[in-house]
Amino acid sequence: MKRTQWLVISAVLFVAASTLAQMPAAPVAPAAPLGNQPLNRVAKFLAAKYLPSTVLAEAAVNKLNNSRTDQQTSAPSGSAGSTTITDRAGIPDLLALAVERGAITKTTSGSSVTLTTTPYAWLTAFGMRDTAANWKANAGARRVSLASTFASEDVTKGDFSSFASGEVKVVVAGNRSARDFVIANMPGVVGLAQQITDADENQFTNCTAPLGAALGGDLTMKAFVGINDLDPVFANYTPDDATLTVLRQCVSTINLQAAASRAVSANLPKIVESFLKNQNRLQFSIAGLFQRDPVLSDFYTFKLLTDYNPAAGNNATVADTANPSRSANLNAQIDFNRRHTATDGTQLHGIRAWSLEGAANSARFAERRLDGTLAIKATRAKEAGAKTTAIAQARLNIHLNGTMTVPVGLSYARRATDTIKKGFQINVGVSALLDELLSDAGAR
Amino acid sequence: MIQKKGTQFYTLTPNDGFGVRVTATGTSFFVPASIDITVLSLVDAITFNVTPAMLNGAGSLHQLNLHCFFTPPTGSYTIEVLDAFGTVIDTIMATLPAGQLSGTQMYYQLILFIV
Repeated sequence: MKRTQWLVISAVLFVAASTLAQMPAAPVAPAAPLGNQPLNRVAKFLAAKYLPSTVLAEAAVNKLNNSRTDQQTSAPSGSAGSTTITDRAGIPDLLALAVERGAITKTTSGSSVTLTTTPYAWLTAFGMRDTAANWKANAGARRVSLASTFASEDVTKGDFSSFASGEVKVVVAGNRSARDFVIANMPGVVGLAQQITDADENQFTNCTAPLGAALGGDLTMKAFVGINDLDPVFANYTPDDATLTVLRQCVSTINLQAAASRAVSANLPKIVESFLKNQNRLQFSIAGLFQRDPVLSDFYTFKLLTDYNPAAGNNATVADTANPSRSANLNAQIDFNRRHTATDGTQLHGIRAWSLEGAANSARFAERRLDGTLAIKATRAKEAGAKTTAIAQARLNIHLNGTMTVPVGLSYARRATDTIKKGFQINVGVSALLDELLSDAGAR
Repeated sequence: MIQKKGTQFYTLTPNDGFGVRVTATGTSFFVPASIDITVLSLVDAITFNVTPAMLNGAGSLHQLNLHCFFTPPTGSYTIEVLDAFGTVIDTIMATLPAGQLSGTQMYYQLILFIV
């Protein structure tokens, strides 16, 4: 089997294994649920012992997802093995990995591995903590991304033979990371926090204070010191009627806490997403790219990238739980040949080609597992007699989980050029946005 | 001086105050908090000082509530309890298990008993 195919298979297995290691069969209850907190635990124990018909509702967890669709996690368009004809203006916060088998451009292998990272990720990898203060202080390091694509099947020809392209991208305006904003200052969050503190206040007034008074100091101290085994603590304890009433109130207050928690967890992500949606109608980036081309000449690319969110600014709350609205991209690109002669001696222009790209991106659908893109790219080479080549693509992104995505695309090029294949091509790959994994690792 | 006597359980005298500090790493800071019926406005990585005047006399039980919401569902919160001299007497690390979604909270109830 060819070397690049082994590389592709190994990378896919690595990403799949990492994802499977992180992906449980079903959401797991958090380690600090409502019912296991000290006061709630004592109250539940006593209620279960002396109020046998009582059933405490467990706090439900989970809602919502953070799901940006503006981040570029795959190989830049035009790179060997790329599965996309249009680029996104956004960048990962920390790191992304993509393994792709694209067939839009002409390469001997058609497979590639792309790593995309930011200087901020390197700072946190080498000791800087990913705190809010450092996040703010290093905003510049988070606006730059570096991407490298490795695709060459033949690594015997010269230094760094496997390196196919490298890109530097700068987000000039319109960052869409939730961490750039203070949640407590967002509209509607004060009300959510009030629900939580009201439930806690209710618990203290109707459970904690009267239960402490009913148990007395000595028994209270023993209960909380011996929290892991309350049976011997209360072996000889018999509550009076007033205490039984307090225990019923405790059950009620715990249920109210759980309800408040569910309400906030359901609405908080909506508020955050609505806020972000309204903040960033337009995202604008610039990128510089270097691409290897053993046939004609290596070349440089300069790109202007825009991402437009038409829903921003209408102040409407998202109807669905954190489903990003549809968006559009409009990009322009110019390529410059590195050499003036091709490998076969043909004279080359300094300017290699111009390109214009447009794309329409859907919001997530099918329980937020899918999103789609329709794109078109028009390229015109500089050489005399060259005609404009148009490529159209329909792509479906299958989100396996919060980290891993499988892009599947069908592209069609009207005519062939030196670097673009004519006709229909199927493009597949695997991309992983590793921000969550790295952020969790850095927090420990 | 505040003393740790058990998991999330502390004792202190009527003249003792203490501090609580919550630091977010890798996630946006959102921690609604209260002690008894008093709302606390916590700021990321800044110590909030609870004074003796905010607590009752000997024999009273107090409840400090900390709700650590994860948006996005990454990173962790570090909860530190400090004595009056700023010495950390207890540290609690809150990290979401894998598979949890944005908006999930980790709730911590710290019980204070005045002796």
